[in-house]
Amino acid sequence: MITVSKIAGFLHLKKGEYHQFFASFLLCVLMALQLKTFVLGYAAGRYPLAGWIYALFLMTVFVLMAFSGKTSFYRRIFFVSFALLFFPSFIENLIEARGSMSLGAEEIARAEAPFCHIVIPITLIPAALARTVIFPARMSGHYAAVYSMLGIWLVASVMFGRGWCSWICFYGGWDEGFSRLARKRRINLDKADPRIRYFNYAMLMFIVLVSLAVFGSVYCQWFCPFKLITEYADVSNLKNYLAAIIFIVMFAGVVVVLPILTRKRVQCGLFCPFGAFQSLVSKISVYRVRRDLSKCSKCMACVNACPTLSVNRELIMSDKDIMSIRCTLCGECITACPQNALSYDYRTRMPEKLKAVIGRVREKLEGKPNAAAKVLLFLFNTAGELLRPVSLLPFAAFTFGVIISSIFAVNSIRLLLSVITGGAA
Amino acid sequence: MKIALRIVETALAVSFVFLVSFAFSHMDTLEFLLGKGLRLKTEPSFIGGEVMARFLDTNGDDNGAGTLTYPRNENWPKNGALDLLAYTVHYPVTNNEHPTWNDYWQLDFTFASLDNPLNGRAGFSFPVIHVYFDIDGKAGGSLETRQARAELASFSVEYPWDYMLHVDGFSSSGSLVSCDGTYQAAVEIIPDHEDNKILVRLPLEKGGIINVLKMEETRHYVIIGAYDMTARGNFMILEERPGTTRGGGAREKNTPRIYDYLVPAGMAQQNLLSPPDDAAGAYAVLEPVKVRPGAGSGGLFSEEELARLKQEADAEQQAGQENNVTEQQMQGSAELIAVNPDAHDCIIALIRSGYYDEARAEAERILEQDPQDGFVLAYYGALTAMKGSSAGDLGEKVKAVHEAFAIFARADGHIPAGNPDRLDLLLNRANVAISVPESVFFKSLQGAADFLEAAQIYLDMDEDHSRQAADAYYHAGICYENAGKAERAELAFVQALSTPGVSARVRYELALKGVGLQ
Repeated sequence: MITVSKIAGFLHLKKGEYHQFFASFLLCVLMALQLKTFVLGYAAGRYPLAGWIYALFLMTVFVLMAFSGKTSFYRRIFFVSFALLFFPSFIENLIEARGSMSLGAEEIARAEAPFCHIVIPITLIPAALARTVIFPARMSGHYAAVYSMLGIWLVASVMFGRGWCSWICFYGGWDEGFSRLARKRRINLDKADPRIRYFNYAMLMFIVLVSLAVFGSVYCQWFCPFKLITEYADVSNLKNYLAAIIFIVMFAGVVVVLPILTRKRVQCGLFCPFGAFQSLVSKISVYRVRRDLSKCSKCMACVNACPTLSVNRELIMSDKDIMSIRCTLCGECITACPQNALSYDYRTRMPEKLKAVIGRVREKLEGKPNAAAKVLLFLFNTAGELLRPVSLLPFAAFTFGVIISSIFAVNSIRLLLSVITGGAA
Repeated sequence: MKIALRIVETALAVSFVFLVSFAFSHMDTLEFLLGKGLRLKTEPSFIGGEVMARFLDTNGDDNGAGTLTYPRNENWPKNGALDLLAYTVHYPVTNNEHPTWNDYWQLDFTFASLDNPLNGRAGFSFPVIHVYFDIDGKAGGSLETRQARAELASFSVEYPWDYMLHVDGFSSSGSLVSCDGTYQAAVEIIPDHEDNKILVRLPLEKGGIINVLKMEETRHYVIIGAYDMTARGNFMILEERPGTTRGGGAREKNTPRIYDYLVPAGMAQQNLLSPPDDAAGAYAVLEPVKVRPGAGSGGLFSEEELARLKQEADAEQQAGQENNVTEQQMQGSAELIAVNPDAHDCIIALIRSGYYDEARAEAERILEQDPQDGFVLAYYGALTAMKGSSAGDLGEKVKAVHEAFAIFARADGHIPAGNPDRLDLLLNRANVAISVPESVFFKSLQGAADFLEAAQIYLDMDEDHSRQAADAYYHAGICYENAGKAERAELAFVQALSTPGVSARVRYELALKGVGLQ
């Protein structure tokens, strides 16, 4: 006869951890439903094979994330895959719409440039002052229109703040991927002048002010390293020629070479003005990474592990128990901490009184020998497990990433299949 | 306090789990609310400046005084290439960082089609555009065309022109000249093939043209001719019969070489482009449109006019309802199946009586026997989408719509152009496209294309179907609006209004949107 203890033994579960398993199982079921709706239903459309491939990949990643506890590792796999799968589809869309990746006078005059999230901080002040968007994009009726991107950003910012940069951004996977290529770091940025961490704020300030002065998005015209793999102005005059050189240097430098040499996400951590802006938005978001000061041995493993230079020695030596607003909620520090002193948490620490109340309820249920009390205790513990930030944050953030990525990823997989099968798929 | 905060945060985090999927499922609503609340617009300097005035011109009037025809030449289309549909005048853009000049003035010319089979450098082949501006409203200026015997027209004595714009598809830039020839400048031409539009940017750097920056009102003579490199002013010569390099339909020697002209409100193109009878050899006298803020087609409707149109629309609706009541016959589904031995008729009868499940079952039965029956597939697609609308689960709804479009695609493969069943497919697919949220399915452009094709089929049938054609154009416009293509929507609305049988309801709905012909 199959008993609970036999199943538990098979799954290597210890007594008292059944509710954790059940909570993870429930989250996986919920995720399967999300994938059915958004990947198989919404994105797959006429390409069910590509949809199934992407859905199975995501399901596998999420199941492993939920049951192994290695949130950061599986997040990274998802994040890098998302970035790689985003661009073929995006480029195909551009070529389909305008015949090339170049952004010409016609597209600008028709306000048909895709609106990307990096432009948001640049456009906010002119939008507030003059109700105009200083970017030639469509207002609505498109996946990359101003209102749809603002809607996505608003929802994501309230939830995750700068968590956007490690869960949702379709660029971030590039430098995250490159930062993991080399085994050994050649340049140790952790020991560099701590002020370099503020470079992206300076960049944000500079970009916002200059954009305001010229009423145009200076970042897109001159500094965006991802122009190389998205769209670019026709290299038909000296200005565009110079800009093209800068784009190439930026991509090669801050997205490829520096991340390889430093094993840090240099573009995201030091250059991206949107990342700096999201740090400020993080003030209002719900989730944080919290440090248990009683467990922390100040070994600096978290400083070493943080890919965006958001954790620094000064912070760890201080008595602050939450990570800075720069934190991207990637979870690398949580995995790296040998003392298990770090964990996802809400902004407000669990009050002792509430802890005591929960403890009393649990004790009461444990004290009762009947089966009903055991079931209640199990459900109580499962609910407690589900309500923990460590369960809710990866689920919500992963869902967000899944939805944003699904159409692009499915289409890219279709393209890939089409190439492999010689157009038969 | 801290306990309350912690509970609120936990509740927020839980609600986010559902909010994520909810927000994406209702992105249309979110976009709508954001749009309504924020009321943002694209920085005008990118897109040519704010629109000062927009003039809509009748669709299909590219025949001058009513008789002109295009040259008989394999490259020339039969119509549309010289058919001006809209003329948009923007506010001048000043201190602008991006384009060629810091200060410029943009004018847009929208045509029914903008093809380039002859590889014109500017991106189009057929039209030559002349706009004569009376900038200052004073007597100084010219009453004759820039080049004698080019357009074969003259200008109103009240509004002599000061500057002339020349645009054709074979020069890399257009030109702007003063009436005395002392000022000449190149203008930028940007073709917009998606919207069949030519954007022209005039430099406002020197010369009297700068005065447009301070003028509240200017007058424009907007002239469209057929391009001919060798002809005077590049205006193709017209004869009685068209030739390979000659337009046809010219009754007189002094028939203006103008295929389309933007007439001021209340005037008729036919009258304006007819040479006067009393003086042999005299040219037709053109009248300009008055350009000032808010002028043009948007300002055509007064409160009284709107009330009158509403009354007409209501009366038309009432009459339609009365007809429907007498025609409506409710029968049981079994009875309908029995009295309609033809499977196609049966499905339509079931749908008309609201027996959608039965209709779907009947369609499935037929498709089992003949999976390539395009007509049944066209209706089965629509029924599948309807099944989605009644499904409770979002995933089921989305899946049903995708399935419906996959079925329509199969039907499309079996019903080529010219097949009598094609209209059913087009209307079914277009009606599903117009009903589903754009930000989820992106089907509005497909819907617009289907409605436009359906309109053309109706027009090709007979005059009795012109109302349906106008309705199809109107709905194509709504699809374009849903897709965020405001200008294309407006052009579809122009086509609806230019169709003779347009209903009072459509005229009223468009008047509410401020769309009306000059």
